[in-house]
Amino acid sequence: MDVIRLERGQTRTVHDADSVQADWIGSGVAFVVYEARRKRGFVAHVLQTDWEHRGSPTAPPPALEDLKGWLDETGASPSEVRAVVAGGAQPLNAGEDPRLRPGEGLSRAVTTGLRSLGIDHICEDTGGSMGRSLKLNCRNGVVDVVQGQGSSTTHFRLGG
Amino acid sequence: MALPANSPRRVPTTLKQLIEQTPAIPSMSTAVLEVLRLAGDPDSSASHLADAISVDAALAARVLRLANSAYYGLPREVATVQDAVTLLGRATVRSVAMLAASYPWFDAEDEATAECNLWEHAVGVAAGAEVIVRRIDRRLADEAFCAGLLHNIGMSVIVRWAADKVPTLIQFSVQKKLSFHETEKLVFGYNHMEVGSALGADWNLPPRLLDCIAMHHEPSKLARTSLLVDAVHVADYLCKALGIGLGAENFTIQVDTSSMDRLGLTNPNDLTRVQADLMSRFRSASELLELT
Repeated sequence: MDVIRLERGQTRTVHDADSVQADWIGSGVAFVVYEARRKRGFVAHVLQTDWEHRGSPTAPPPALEDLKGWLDETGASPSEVRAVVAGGAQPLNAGEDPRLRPGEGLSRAVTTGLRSLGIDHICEDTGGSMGRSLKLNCRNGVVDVVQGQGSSTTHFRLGG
Repeated sequence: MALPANSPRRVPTTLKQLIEQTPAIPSMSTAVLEVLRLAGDPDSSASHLADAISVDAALAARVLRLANSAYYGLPREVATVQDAVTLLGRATVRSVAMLAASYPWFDAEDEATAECNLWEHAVGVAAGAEVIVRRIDRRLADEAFCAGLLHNIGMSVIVRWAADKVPTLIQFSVQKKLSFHETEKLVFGYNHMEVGSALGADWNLPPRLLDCIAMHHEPSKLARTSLLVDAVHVADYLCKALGIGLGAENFTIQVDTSSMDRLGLTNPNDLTRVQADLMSRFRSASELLELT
C-alpha cells in the first residue's frame, strides 16, 4: 500500500485503502479526524504561518474550514468521528516567552476549533521538545505518532 | 552515556581523527573559495569573478542553471557566467556559487544526510537568514544566505558516522534538558559547531562565516555580537518550528532571545511575519532545488 505524503500546510481526505503520513511536524500541528463506520477521514498539517496571517490570533486555523466542508459534504457526524492532534513542539528553554511557544497556541486553537465543530473525542500528543510525524492507516483507524526520529511512538486506535 | 551497541563502527574520539578518517567529506573547491574572496573584494571586476567561476566547469553549469531559475526572476535568459555576474550582481553570484558548491556536503542521495534532512535545513536557514538580514541591512543579505547554507557543515560530517545514534542522542537531550550540541560534546568529545569550524578554517573561509558556523547555537557568547550570527541562530529556530530540518538535532535546541531582541523581533507577530516570508522564500528555493 502506497503511503500518501501530506506536505506542510496541506489538507487531505482519505478513504479505506489509504495510508497517509505527515512528516516534520515542528511547532505546527497535524490532526486526523476519522470516521470508523465508513473508514474515511480528514488529515491536515497546519503551520503557524497559515494561521496567524488570517487575522485574529483567536481565529480557527483555515484547515478547520476545510474540515467543516468535509463534514458537511460527507454527512459524517461530528459526534461519531474521533480525532488525534499532534505537534506543537517548542525549544528546550521555551519558558514563558511567547516567542518560544508558538505551538502551544496553535494546538489549543486546533482542539478548540474541533470542539466547536462538535468533535469531542480528541486524543492529543502535543508539546515537548521533539518534532513528530503522524501516520494514519485508514483501513483500521490506527494512528501512529512518532517523536524524535523514532525515539518514541504512540499508537492511537480510532477504529472503534 | 554509552554509544548504541549496534553501531557498525565507532565514532573517532578526537576532532582531528574525525576529519582525517571521514572518507566522503567533499572538499571546498578552490574556485568557490576564490569566488568568496573576489565577491568581497571591492577592487575585483565582474570579469574576474566570471573567470573564477568558469575555471570549474561543473560549478559554472550549476551557476547558470540556478541563475536561469524562477527563484532569481531575471527578465531574460542568462547564457554566460559573465551575464550571470552582470545581471545578478556580485553578491548574489556569491550566493549562487555557494549554493551550487554546498550540495555535495548535504547530498540528498547520501542515505545518512538524507535521513537527517540536512540539505533542506541548510536551504531553509539560508532563506531565513537572508529574509531577517534584508530587513536590517540589504547589503548583507546575500552573505547571510551563504552563512545559513554553511552553518551546519559540521553536522554533515557527524551524521556520516553517527546517523544511527541520532534518535538516542535526541532522547538523551530531552531527558537531560541538554541541547543536542551539548550532548554531542558529552558523547563524542566535540560538537558539530567545532567540526564545522575546523573544516571552515582549513578552507580559509572568511571570519564572519566561520563565526556563523562556530557560534550559531551560542550567539551571545561572541565577544562582539554579529548580525549574521544572530540571523542564522533565529533562522535556525524558525526553521525547526516550521519543521524544516528536524532530522539531526530535532527540536533539542536552546533559543537565545537576546538575538531576537537585537534583530528587533520583540514580539510573536514579528516572528510570524518573518516566518511567513521565510516559508515563501524556502518554497521557491525548494522548487528550484527539487526538494519537494
